Amino acid sequence: MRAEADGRTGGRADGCSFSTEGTASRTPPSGGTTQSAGPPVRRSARLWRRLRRTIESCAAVLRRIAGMPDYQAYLRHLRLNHPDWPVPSEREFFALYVESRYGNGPSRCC
Amino acid sequence: MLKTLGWIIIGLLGVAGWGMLALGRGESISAAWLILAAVGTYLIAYRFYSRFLADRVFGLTNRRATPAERLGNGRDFVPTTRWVLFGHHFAAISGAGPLIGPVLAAQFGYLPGTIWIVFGVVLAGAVQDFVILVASMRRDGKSLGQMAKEEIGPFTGLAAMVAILAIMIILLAVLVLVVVNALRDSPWGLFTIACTIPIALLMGFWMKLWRPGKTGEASLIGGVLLLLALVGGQHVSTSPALAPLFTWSPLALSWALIGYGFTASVLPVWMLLAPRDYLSSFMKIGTVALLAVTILLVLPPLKLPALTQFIDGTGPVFAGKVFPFAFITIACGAISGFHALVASGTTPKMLRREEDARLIGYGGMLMESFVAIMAMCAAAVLDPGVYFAINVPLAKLGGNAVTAAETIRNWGFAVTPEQMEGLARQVGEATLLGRTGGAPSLAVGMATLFSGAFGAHLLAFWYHFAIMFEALFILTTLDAGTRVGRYMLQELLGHVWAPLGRTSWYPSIVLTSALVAAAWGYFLIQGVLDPLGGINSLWPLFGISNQLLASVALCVGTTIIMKAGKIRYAWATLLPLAWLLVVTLTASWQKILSPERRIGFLADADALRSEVAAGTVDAARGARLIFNDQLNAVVASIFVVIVLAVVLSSAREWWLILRGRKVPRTAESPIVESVYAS
Repeated sequence: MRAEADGRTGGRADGCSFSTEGTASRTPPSGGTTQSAGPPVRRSARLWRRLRRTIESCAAVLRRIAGMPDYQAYLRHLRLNHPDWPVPSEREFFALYVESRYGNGPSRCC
Repeated sequence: MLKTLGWIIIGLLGVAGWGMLALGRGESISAAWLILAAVGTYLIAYRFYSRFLADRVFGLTNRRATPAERLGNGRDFVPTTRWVLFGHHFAAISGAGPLIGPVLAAQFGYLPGTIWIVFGVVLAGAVQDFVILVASMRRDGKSLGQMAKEEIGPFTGLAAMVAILAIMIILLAVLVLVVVNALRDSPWGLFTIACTIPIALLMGFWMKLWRPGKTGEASLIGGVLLLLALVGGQHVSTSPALAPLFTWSPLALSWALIGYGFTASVLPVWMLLAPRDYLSSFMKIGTVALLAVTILLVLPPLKLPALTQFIDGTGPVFAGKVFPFAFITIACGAISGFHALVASGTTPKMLRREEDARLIGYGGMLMESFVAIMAMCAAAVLDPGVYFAINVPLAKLGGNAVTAAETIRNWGFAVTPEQMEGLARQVGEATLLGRTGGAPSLAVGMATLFSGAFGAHLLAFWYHFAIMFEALFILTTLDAGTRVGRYMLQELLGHVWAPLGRTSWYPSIVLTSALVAAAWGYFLIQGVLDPLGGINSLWPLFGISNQLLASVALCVGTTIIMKAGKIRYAWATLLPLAWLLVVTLTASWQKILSPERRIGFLADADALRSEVAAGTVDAARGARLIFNDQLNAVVASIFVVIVLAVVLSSAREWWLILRGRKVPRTAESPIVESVYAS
């Protein structure tokens, strides 16, 4: 069983200088969705997308630092390693995560 | 070539810093020298010593897959980028310990504490964290207790577990005592801290029920509410109707906190513990960064002398000479046995590559030590007179502002009653006198620094921000500690009667939580009732226990290094172990048997007995104080016995290996080629 073996060489397409996982998954290149609109709209949409991705990846960094669950990363892990497993809802995942992180007693120092 | 030159320059800057600290007597020097000495030493140690440990002693290689890679499950075993994991690990190891220890040790002047914080960390503390992290990483993230059991023997495993439980109880008692001393008769502080409970509950329900899994949102809301609570505290403290509601005596506060600890241990994790954990992680990293930036911006002069006359053991904050008590008091900033629990807990399951362990294990502890250096700066920027007025128990200061100023002037430090009253008014408190425990003086120091950088009119807010920051993570430690204590007690009792060992059986949960809360609560209440403030006797016990746990960790580390066939490098953990044993055993000996009443528990009990006989002390009160002295002596003896047992059983193992009577075999996980090697 190997975790997220794929995409290990993936660089970051987003702005936050580091990803939470070493296995950055590159988002597929976009295109076609805004074809019909004029160039200015397309640029702002692209900018907006990039901004959102930056915010999301920064949030993921903060979540990992504080030891919070990362649902998207878990879905990625399932997709890559256990495509046949049932996908838990976000609520179920939260319960599962809290149990595996604190089940043996939280580790926290003075 | 250019690189070599760079390292030579860094080395010289560090030496220049130490030179200024050592030679700049008589006049106040800038905090810049302190920081230069510390950071220069850290960089050199990280570049050369930690690399030596990583390459030669542990043989770390990125070609070998980590548990996160082999066992990844997307929850606790997750390969994590090293700087993110560095942040996570740092948030888990740092807490109130490195902030309070240096402030208390500042009674000797800033130099003894600084030397131990910096050299202790590079040669002992960071080595301990690193070796345990590596050992656990190569054993699929096993805990310290499990490793002690498997590598040394079942007896050592059990001894380590009992030691951890006993230490946890003393730790919780002393940290809660710090909070009690900071919040007593302080409506502003108490209101803010009390608000953190409903805020955490709100976050918990938000994440679990209303918006499942939306932890980011919940934390944002929690953070904003926390700041509102801080602002609201000022209105409460000035309102004639509300202020009395939040003005509590130390005893009432203690009972409330014991009840809180019990409740937090019984409630499900998601309701209170997890949200608090998130909130205090963010607060911690944010405030530490803010403090670092502020100190670098302001570069304040250090008003405390390098050495005070109290190195001879007459210190009023706590008793005992600079050796061994400076080393005991600093605690977490130089070496902390508790880190071995974190380094064999969540972190080893998240390492992406083996070589990252160097940055996270060794580097993370250097960062913790830097927090201790900043705490030392914050204490040293205060006027020494103010420092002693806040930190010395009121009973020793004569009971009021006038006698306090008189007493402190006799020690050779200037302070006036008006100065203390003015300062208390500025920070929004009725009085700052005799608030032992380190937190209030650290808060005054931090507030002075912050307001020096961002405007003086906010002093009161910064003071209460700093108090909230410390109390928040002490209470998080309280939640977590009572629960960990409960789990350990359940495991131990499970051997006696199996149902008690089931961590989800409600009667067992309630019983063991109550036992753990009662145990630390007992020491807390006795500390509050102690005429000398309790910190005086409890903090050294905590320091001793924490370092004895570190000794256990170093024993495990040495055994693992020897079993891996690296006997010639075993000195890397044996030397710090020897030093720790010398320090802690001397300190324990003195705390138990010193003929001086101020230091020795038994001597104090004797003195009390004759006072009761002479009628100067009430008989019932005397009996209670005598019992507590004896209890403290017994606790210290238990620590010593456990640790000697662990050291001797490890030494036997080492002897067998050295003599060739035992084939060294470790319980490492099999080697699997990593995909991250590059």
